[in-house]
Amino acid sequence: MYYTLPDKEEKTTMKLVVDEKTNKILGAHMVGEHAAEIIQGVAIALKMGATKADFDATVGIHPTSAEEFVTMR
Amino acid sequence: MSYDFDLFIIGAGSGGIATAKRAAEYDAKVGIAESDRLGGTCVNRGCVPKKLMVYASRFPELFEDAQGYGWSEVKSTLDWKTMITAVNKDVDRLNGIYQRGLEKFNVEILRAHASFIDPHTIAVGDTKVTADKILIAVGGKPVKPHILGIEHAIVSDDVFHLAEQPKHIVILGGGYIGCEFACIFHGLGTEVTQVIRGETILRGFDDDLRNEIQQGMIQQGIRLLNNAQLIAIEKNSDGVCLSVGQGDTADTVIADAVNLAAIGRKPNIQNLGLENTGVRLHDGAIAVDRYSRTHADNIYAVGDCTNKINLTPVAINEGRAFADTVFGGKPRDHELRNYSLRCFHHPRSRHGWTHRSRSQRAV
Ligand SMILES: Cc1cc2nc3c(=O)[nH]c(=O)nc-3n(C[C@H](O)[C@H](O)[C@H](O)COP(=O)(O)OP(=O)(O)OC[C@H]3O[C@@H](n4cnc5c(N)ncnc54)[C@H](O)[C@@H]3O)c2cc1C
Repeated sequence: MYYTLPDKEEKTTMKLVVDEKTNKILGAHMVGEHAAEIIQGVAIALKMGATKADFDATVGIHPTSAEEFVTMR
Repeated sequence: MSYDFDLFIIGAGSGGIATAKRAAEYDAKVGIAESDRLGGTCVNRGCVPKKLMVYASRFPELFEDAQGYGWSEVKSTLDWKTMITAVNKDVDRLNGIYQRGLEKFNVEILRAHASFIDPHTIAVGDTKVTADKILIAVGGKPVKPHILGIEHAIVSDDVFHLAEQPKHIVILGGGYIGCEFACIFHGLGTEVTQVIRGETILRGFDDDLRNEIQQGMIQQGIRLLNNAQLIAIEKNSDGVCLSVGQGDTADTVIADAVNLAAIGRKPNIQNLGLENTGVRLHDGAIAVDRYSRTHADNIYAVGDCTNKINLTPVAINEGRAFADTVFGGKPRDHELRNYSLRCFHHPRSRHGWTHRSRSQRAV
């Protein structure tokens, strides 16, 4: 969102690796601004064995880039 | 009996659009009415333009901080018109994205005011449509309190269209929107006086955080009048003149803009024909259960018009839960026990540290 007014082609990538059988999140990845700050909270969820369903059931914080982690289809 | 639509939605804001797409994914035939711009409060006069202005407001501090890292002094001034034009241009861009998004899901968009004729029939502008299920997602709007001279005050909607940067703005309200606007305007270089009724800003957040943020905002240079009440607003040649009561004393504040920062919002349920439906109200908002059901069998409501937790992701989540339940055969209620609250304020202490808070609380 920050880059829209300066009209810059900056891309942010976020990725979740999910076990198809158990629905468990095996890995979370992010390339972009504040990635380190954002991924720390996600790390706790992974440590606790969160599933994709847990991520989906979490209400996002809007407008942020971090909310993409809980709105992926 | 066959209807024109399986689902008809009144209001294409955060809740309405998310629901339309989700229900259409389940092959429901969906129509949506919108009397204003697509995207609702969030995109046009809420979250989005506000956050862009938060970004705009941060630069002076970055210019200052840069010197600590060896950069030479930056002298820069804000061109308000350029900033506000760019913000609104981005809003236009998003309107287009929403339109194409709905079209992609074959949702029929009717651009007019909608009101109920009976529980299955809705008048949309000059046409009439019928639907099996109807979702009310009409959101809310700011209301002005009864104060002498209140017509001289602007509401949060107007902030995004001010032609000129105010030199001194008075912000009424200590909720998150008031605090955000106070910090935005301060960052942009406007002198800010914030008037709040209680002792401390951000009611509902933890006390230690409220105090910390309040101290930060005061140290940053925002003038806070607490335990205060606005008595009257007068317009004169100097600008607007406010009398503010604090206990037994009254203070006068002269400014060039007064912003009512969402100190009162109410659901958009006027002229909606609710009296023709069996839908009931609770405290002026549409009464619903945790499956978003109203008292009328086929009518549901989500988002700000139910006045529960007025945030975009909540409206979206309620809408999708409704679509999953009713059209997807995957019943789920929307859980309101655990949600995140954040405030994009920006207090900065004299020592130069910055702080953004996001707190989790349970209800
Ligand atoms: C200044 C401000 C800042 C905000 N910042 C944030 C934030 O940072 N994060 C966050 O999560 N939330 C924020 N919010 C709250 C958020 O904008 C709302 O919670 C959200 O937009 C509610 O969505 P909704 O679908 O219920 O209603 P809305 O988005 O308001 O949409 C309702 C739509 O219905 C239309 N409508 C109404 N009546 C009719 C009718 N009879 N016929 C046809 N159309 C009709 C309206 O024109 C409108 O487009 C903010 C709000 C404000 C005011």
